Amino acid sequence: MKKLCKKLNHTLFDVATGPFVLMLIGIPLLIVILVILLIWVSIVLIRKAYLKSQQDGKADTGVNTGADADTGTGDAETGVNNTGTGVADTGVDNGVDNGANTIAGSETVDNIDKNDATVNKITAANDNTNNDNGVDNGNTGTRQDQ
Amino acid sequence: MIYLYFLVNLILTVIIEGVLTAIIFRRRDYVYYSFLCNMLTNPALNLILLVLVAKGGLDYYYVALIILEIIAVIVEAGIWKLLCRFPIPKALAFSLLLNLASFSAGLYLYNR
Repeated sequence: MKKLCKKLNHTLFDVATGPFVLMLIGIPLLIVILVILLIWVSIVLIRKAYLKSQQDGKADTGVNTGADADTGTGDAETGVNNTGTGVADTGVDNGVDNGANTIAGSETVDNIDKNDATVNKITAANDNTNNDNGVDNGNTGTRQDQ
Repeated sequence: MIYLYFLVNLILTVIIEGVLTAIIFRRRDYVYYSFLCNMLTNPALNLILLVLVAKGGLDYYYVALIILEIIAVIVEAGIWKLLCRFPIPKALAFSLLLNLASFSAGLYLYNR
């Protein structure tokens, strides 16, 4: 081993130790880093794919297939077979502020249960009281309650 | 050269398992999942195998290979279950089939 130069702050020898160290430690270290990087990337991609597949699954179950429709077991008044007819409440404003406006109406609901072949009628009376706020805009018209 | 060993193993496994998955399921997303499984397990398996053989010698090669392949089968089955909602037996069977195919192909190519 011959000394090449002593004037620098390190003595240089005519052996190539750098590449040897690189071969011994550097390449395995690089492979380990590459493998860890690959594993990390694949975990991220698997997580993404999992979230996407979950979203797709949710979208599939969100579609109404009709399987949840009336099974026909005939439980009374489940609301499935209701045909409701509501008589509209009509309130006529005569333009005179009398302090209080009372609207009266009625609603009839026919519940038809096909399995029991019974017809239930429910009549409900609605009394809607609308307190006037004291401001009369003078309109005359027909109002329908929901 | 050692880079080439890792790369050839990974490419070979990805191709064989990808083709087999495409033949069985005929779905592109499943081929992608197969690629992800291999990217996760194959380089790690080869690296651990290399370290074990370097430390313990060639006598440990087949024992270590079989143990690591079993672990890879279990991990990949877990991923198939997670991504495709396969039941556990189906995921395990499918993962075992894929790994057996790639393992056999590797044995055939390296011992030719």
